[in-house]
Amino acid sequence: MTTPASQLPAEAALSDEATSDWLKGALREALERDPVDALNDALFLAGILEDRLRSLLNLDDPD
Amino acid sequence: MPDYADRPSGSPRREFDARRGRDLKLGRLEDHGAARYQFRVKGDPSYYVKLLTREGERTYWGKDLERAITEAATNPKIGDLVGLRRVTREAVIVTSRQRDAAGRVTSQEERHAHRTRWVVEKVSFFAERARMARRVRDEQADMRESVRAHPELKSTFLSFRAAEEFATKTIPNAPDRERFLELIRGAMASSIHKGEPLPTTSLRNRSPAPAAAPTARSPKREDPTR
Repeated sequence: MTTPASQLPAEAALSDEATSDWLKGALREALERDPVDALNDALFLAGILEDRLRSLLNLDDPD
Repeated sequence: MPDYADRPSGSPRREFDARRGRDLKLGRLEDHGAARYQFRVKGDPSYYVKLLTREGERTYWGKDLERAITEAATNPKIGDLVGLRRVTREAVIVTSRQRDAAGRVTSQEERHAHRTRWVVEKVSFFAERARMARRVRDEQADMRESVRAHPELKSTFLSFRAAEEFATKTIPNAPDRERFLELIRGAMASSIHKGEPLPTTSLRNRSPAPAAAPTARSPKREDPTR
């Protein structure tokens, strides 16, 4: 059985020493889930984390 | 034609951003380079910056993006988390040329347009500028302490001192004077926050060049703005 091409980046990320443990754990869990749900949640999470970064660093113009 | 990103119009996120005045785009720098506008074969020479944002990949176009990337203080590289912001628009004269099938110019038309000035820096730059802007906005901030913490703000504070002297001499009414200074303070802080270049005021300038009002600035003869 050949590995689908879409799994290759995930495997590369999991074996990369530069990938954080948090990301590896999240990725492993996400790969077990429905791919559409997992991506939807990941985008939602990215939005929340970006809002947090903007808020903590006061990046948005207060005007 | 204004610079813009190839994002779909009317998205809820866009409206949300517009409401909040969120003009700083955040994303991972995926690619940048010179290309014909929108990668069209007949497009004008332009420059693009591709970001991976929370909404997916977005491509921003603008001739000034090349300068913004190459002159960036934080030297952003592919893979860095960066912020991208339009800071000013300069008046320019755009020359449109009509060509025949052989590529010969058949007619030429000039019109007034605006060229956008961009700032592209790592996120840390905008965080630092936000801190500096708060310093300037804070009326109670001790100037000496602020300059010690941020020596690059010295010119900004000198400019503000000059504005204070000007106000003292020319605005006798105290509330009016304070309103004027508050406007100056807000404008300086906003400019710093956006990432615009900091002023380089010198203590003594015996032959100052006459300052031109922004609205009176003559358009420059330039190529199309995109």
